[in-house]
Amino acid sequence: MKRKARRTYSVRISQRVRAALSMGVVLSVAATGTFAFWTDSSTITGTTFTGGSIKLNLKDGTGANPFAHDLTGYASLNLATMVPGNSTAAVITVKNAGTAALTFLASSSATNPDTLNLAGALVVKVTADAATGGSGLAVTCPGTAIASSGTSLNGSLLTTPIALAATTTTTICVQVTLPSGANTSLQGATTNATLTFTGTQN
Amino acid sequence: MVGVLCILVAIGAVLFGLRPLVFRSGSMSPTIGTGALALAHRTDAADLHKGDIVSVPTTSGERVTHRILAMERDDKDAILTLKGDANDTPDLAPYRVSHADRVLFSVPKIGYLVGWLTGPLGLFLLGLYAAFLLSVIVRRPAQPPGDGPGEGLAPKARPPGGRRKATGSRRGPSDRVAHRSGSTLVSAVLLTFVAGTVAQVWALPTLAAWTDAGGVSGTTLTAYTVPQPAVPTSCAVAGTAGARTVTIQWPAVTSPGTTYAASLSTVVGSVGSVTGTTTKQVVVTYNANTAGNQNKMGTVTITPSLTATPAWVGTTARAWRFKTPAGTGAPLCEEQVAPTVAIADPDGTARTASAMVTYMNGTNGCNNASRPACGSLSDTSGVSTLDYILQRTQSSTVRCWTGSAWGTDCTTYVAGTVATSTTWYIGGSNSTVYATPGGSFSLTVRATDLWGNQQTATRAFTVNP
Repeated sequence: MKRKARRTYSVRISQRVRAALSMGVVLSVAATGTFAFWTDSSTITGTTFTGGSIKLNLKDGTGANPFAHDLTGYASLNLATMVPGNSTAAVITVKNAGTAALTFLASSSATNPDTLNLAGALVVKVTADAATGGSGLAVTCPGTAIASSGTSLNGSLLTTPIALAATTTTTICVQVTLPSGANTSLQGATTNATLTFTGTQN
Repeated sequence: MVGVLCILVAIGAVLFGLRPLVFRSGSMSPTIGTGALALAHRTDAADLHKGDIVSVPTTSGERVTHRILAMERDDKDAILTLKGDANDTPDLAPYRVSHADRVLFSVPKIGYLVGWLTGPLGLFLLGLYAAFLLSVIVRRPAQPPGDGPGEGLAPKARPPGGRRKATGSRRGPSDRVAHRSGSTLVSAVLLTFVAGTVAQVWALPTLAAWTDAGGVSGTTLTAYTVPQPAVPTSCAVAGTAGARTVTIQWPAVTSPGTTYAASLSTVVGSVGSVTGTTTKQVVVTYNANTAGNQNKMGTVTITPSLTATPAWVGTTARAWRFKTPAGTGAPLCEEQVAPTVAIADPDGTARTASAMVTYMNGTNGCNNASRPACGSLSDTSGVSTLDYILQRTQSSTVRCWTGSAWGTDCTTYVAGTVATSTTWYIGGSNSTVYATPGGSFSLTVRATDLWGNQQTATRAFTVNP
């Protein structure tokens, strides 16, 4: 009788310990705050799983041109004989052709094959204009530059992500200017510029 | 047993920096798919390596878990360039971190469970589970002797002591079994929740974010080059000995607006302003009575620059010359027209060596035993020099005429003679030049005028043995 009771007792103690230990796990819920700096409060708000994918497409201008993943041989921004004060500009339509929302940033790179560094002298302006202004050697993006957008080649053009819901489009106008104070050593200098629009799922 | 394990995991998480990660998206696929649960270990920057899969916070407060594509170390920090395995491009901006959560392993799909547990229903069930555990803890203590505190905690949870004892003595063995199987079942069922709880507390939703980059390439931007001024289209001389003038004109570049400056060198004089719009003009005046201005090559240098940006000066100027005579006479304007030059004899006909000598000596040839070639020339300003290369190939031996003998230098022009304003000849003995056994000959004659304009003429002929 006594032995039986003791056994039963030990079993119950063990179970209680286990329950208590398991309780520690639950208590750990209370410790969430300790780790709040990781994720703010998002740990207990449910996690959204994002299906689908994103697909960022581009086209020249806003007209009937087809969208493409990459625009190669892009000549709309070309300018062959820039003298100080000249500018060129072009509108690029960005489309999220995927099934999930995205944000995109833009950056540029430019070559310096003749080591004259025309790319370093050119000034960039990025706006949300849907059409360029001016003509000839003074084509511009007439609007206000997008906040925190880049002003030179070989760097970030858009540093604040622009949201783009699935299947929607937006326009980006890029203007490149040779400042009036450009050095005479830039005569005949050439640069090939590449713009990269990078969409990130959000 | 299971509960202890969970506690150990929980403790391990705290002590060793282990951290579950829930993958919300699939850019690390196929390595780690959407909904995977990964266990990551907090790792100092110094211990991170290229190729590791790490989770780092983004500037927007979310987390991204991607593979290290490249990294730079800066003091204790690392600057990581991350890229999802399924992405074509790396993440836009590098991440500067002092430490990162390195993924140790991952389990597919479990993250969905964790995600569900963190939803409203999951939280409700977790609450139930917590309540249940509390009840297990507080319900027990009645039975064992001397376990007083437990009795006081939850009296309603226990049946009366007497009845319990009696039941226990009657059904002891089976009671134990029931308890054990019951606790095992409870543990097994709870395991899921425990795991979920642990995961929920520390699991971080992480974006293995898809990225997609579109490139716009092929844009070419070129700066203008201020061109060399065009060749003057007009040069006129006028005036008297005390004030000779040279007036030159050239077409202007009007777009972009170009300004021209002129200067004078060698001859001392004055340079007027550059005038005109589509055609520019400048007048140079000098005193021909000044001995220093006689028999000189005066040079007018025209330098262009952008009217709107004067600092943009053309790198290539245009030099335009005029030749002053020995006396006080009018100067001669530079011209761009090359002289004409032609080879009269040899006439290209193949002859034997002796016949060639006879031919050249006679009136049909150059009519002189010391003129192995002759011809005509002309130039507006007069040809100043005439030189030549006369090459002979015997078998495979190549020799070139030096003016008096056959030598081996076949690249240097040899001076000939400008006989009159319209004729030229080269020197040497006809019988030596055209000696047996002859060979294949080629003659190149070059005439140069006062301004350096040049013209050449060539002839090939054969002299047989």
